[in-house]
Amino acid sequence: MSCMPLLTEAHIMELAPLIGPFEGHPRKSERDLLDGEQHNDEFLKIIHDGRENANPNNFTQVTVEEVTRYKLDTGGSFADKCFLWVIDSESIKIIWELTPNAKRGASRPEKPYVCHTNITGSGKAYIGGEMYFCENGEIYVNFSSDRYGYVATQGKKKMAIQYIKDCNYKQVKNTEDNLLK
Amino acid sequence: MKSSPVNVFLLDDEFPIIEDFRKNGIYNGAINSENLYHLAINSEWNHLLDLQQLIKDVVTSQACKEGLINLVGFTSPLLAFPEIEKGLQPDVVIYDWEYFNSGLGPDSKNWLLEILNKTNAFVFVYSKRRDEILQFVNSKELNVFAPRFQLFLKSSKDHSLFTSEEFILQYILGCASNSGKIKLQGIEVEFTANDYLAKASDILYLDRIFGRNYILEEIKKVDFSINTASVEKIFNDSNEFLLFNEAKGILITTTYPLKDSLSPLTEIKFIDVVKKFSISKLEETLERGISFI
Repeated sequence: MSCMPLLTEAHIMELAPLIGPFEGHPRKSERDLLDGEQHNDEFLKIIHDGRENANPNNFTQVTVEEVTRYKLDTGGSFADKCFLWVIDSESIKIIWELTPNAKRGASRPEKPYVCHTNITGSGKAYIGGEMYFCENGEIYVNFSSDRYGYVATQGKKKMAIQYIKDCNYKQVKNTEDNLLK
Repeated sequence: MKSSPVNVFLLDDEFPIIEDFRKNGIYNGAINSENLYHLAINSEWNHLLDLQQLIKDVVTSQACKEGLINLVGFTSPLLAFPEIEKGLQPDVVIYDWEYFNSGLGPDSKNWLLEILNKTNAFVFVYSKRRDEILQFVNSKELNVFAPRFQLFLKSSKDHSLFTSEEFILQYILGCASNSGKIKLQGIEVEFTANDYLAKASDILYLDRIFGRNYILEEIKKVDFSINTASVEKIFNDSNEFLLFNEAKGILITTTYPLKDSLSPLTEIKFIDVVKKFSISKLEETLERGISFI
């Protein structure tokens, strides 16, 4: 099977409910979205729909050395080669974190790039996080999205990983599993 | 800080026209700060009141009075290029995107690219039609210059602790001096570069970490003065902390789902995270739930 187009009932049963940005977050609410963090119209063309598997736009791989240096396999971050993902009501959507977003730069001068709500247009999603494609074929997936990943249950995370695998991404690694080893 | 004055170019074709200036050809080349100030205090600026105020704030700032800022206006980028060729290099450019005789896009984009290529200036792209020009600004050619420009909506007061013009003001003053009066939501605040915030725009970290209302309330308590002591007070008043596994070099939030599996964890106050690591590390941890040292 080359791809699994949409979320199935079985996926949705574990991933539900859809949540709005920061929903359930202990410190933030949707009002905390900054200017430039709420729109997605200008990014729709480059947001990759992972239901088709394949590589997202601006595809770049981390080296094994970078995985070690930035601890990407246990939940660390490396913006240069980071891809943001969310699972919305249909499928997984992916975008390179350093996709320019000049509008956001006015309120976050050090980060004039996209964020998770630029994928959803600040709409609802099941869950989100970051992913790193490694040259060794492994894909490190974490749930570091304060908008859509912060409050996710273990069951939700597990199903998110399963769904990504069902989209035919190979060697998907949950960084939280590695962290606890 | 620069030893020579900070050259600030203000490119905008909507400066008020006064007959005397027009007759004397003032608009045909570099408009000096004295003339810009004259326009700012004697003319109607209609929808550009915030730009008018920015000019007043820059020219009357202590840094400008001390000769540390040289503000120069041009009614078109095409008038600025000869000055650049002659050696007047801007450090900061406030770049209006729309010009009467140009469309919304290609000319403005090409001129912006020319400025970025010919100078090392930081450019504030300034537009009243910001959302319509995103397609030009978020382009591959401009992406390589991303660290050197910022896009602002003229007179925007939304979603940020600083209005557009307040942000530009603090940036200019910060280039000229380590301290000075900046504005937050119209309130004058004395900013001094300190152990925690290297420049005034770093106040945005506080805004994002604690929220706007908290910061505006705290600024009143510290007598509208941002320095090492007052930043410490702002942090300490919040009484918030992260959890730290020193052996593994892991910082997590108090609500991180796997915290029970990451023992031993010790509490580390926000201010100590900033002292020991950095304010960006604190923010990263709050955003991602976890970060590594």
